[in-house]
Amino acid sequence: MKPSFIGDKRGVSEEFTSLPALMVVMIGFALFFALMATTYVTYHQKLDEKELYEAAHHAVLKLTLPESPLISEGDTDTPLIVSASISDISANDLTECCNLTGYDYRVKIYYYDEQGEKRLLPGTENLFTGTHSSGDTVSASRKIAVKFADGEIRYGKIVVTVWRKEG
Amino acid sequence: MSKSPHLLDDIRGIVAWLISQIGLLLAAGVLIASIASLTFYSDWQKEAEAKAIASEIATAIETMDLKSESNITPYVFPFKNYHYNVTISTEYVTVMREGGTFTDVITAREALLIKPFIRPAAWDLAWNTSEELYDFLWRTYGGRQYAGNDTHPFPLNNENLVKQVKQYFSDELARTALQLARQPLRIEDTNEPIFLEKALIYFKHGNGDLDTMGIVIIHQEVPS
Repeated sequence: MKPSFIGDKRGVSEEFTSLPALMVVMIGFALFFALMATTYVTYHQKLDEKELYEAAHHAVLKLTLPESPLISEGDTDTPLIVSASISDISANDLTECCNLTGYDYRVKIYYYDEQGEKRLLPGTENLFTGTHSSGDTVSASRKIAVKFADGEIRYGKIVVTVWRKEG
Repeated sequence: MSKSPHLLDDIRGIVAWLISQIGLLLAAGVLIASIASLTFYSDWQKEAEAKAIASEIATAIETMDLKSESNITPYVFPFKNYHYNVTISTEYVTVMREGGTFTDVITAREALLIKPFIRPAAWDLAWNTSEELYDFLWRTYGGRQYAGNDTHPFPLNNENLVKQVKQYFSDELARTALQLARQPLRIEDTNEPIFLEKALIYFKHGNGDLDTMGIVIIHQEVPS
């Protein structure tokens, strides 16, 4: 009786041609999934950054509306004037004006001195809602005018940095 | 010369097809199927389209919050050659459309940066529009003296009244947010517009200066 080819114990070496082809396909696999994973991760990172920027942009626009506690006065020439003496502004005032769902933010107001150097307006060192940032942050800014007690107006900018609320 | 054996009778065969060639075929098949399914059979284009609609609605609501004066704008939903539904809750705009390849309904959701006051027409609410709100405040909190509009602002020196009014808005927002989380405003017919309204509640200082508190209202009532 002839032995079945499955029962044939005489081993043969694998054909050489199929192994490199299998290797090429497996490399293709790896490259494809690496590319897909990179695209997916990058897309979500960009989406996250875009959402944070939208929140920061909304906050900076909202905080420079005429009814904002930061804006003291304005006229047609300089519509956005921040009084230099805003140390009485609290986080609660900020939240009442602009309460971003799911985000906290920090506000910093800068002015440019005689030498053109950027300086932080006193009283805005610790102006933030919620808790300190613990993750990614994105900032948006807008040009404003800062009015000092002696009536001098200097140009500066308001910078709002946004991060996601914890929990 | 001896006759060569029939193919099936040839016991010198090898079983290569059972090992690497089958592996090769399977691997190539899965790879091609993955690329084809992601490119041609996935719903990413439809999802992106639904996401764009949701984003547009959310932006319209958020833009209303940035108005510095009272404003009412009818919002017309984007026209598409397919049917889609929109639901709006205090925190999310959700767009749903049918026709997915793998799922019946494709859903896209956009979080809102602000919390609007949503007033579904089907609900029996004390007020829907800003005019009705001023009337409600006039009757309920203002003692028929103050309505919170520019002609009858709430006096800031009456701290108790101001606190009550602000507390009312906070409570009303929380109450409707809870209800809307369970049963959001559902727009079945996207040919019908909704109305986005920025209402300003006025508070008067002793020296006559006015402070304002802005709220965004979304309702379905055609303004008179």
